[in-house]
Amino acid sequence: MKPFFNNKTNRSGLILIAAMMLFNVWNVIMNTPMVPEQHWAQKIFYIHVPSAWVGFLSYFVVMVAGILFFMKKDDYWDLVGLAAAEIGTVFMSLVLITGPIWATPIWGKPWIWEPRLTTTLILFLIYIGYFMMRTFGGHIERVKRYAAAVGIIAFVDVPIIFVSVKFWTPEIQSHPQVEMAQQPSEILIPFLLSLSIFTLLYVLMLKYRIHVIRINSRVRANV
Amino acid sequence: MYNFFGYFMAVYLIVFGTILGWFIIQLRIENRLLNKNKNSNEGVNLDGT
Repeated sequence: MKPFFNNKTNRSGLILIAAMMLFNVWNVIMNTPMVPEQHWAQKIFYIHVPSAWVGFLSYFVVMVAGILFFMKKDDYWDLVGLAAAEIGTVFMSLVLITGPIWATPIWGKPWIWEPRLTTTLILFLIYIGYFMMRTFGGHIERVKRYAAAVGIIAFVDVPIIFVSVKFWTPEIQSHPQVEMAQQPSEILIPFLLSLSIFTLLYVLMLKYRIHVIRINSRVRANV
Repeated sequence: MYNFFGYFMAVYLIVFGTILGWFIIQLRIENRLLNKNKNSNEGVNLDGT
């Protein structure tokens, strides 16, 4: 097994995504409108929401990998699930850090116990439990089955987070109830571009993490 | 009055710093594992050759 970036496709992918990300930041700074009430703070939205999207996408991959692990009894899917859970939790941490940074000037306080924030925090805590179970769960084969089951069950929270702004009464909501399709094109297009670039970044990160975990398991098998 | 630009900068630095840090950590782990395999007494390559 060779270093991941010795492969020309992976190396080109990294360079391309880095260039696209730089363009994305330049585009957000230079070409998106300044919203009067929020000024620069509104531009946080162009990376906060794509980070959340990547987190949820990653947890979707964990769920699919869990189902495939049970169906095919193949350790590869356990490995995919682990890699996706790790990356999903990195991005979910970013969401839980950048959200309060945005909220501080806009709401006047960093955290409100409203539905979307609370359900997002619950999802994050479920995955903290997932990693604790992975580490301290006992027999390796049993841990793999438990991890697949937790990954499938945990995903139930993702649609709840999505519908939370409509599911609970408006009086207890603080989250912006934004209809993206109704946004002007100068906001919508840079947002969709950022979402696409973050998705490409996620694919590369997932491939890389799977590669590293595979090396780790093979080295352990050789020892 | 809040310094909106400061909040914007903080978020961008945290997000891109974390992503960059993640790649650096993976590179270091990968190098360490490949070296460990190279230096192992067995001399068995990871691809089985």
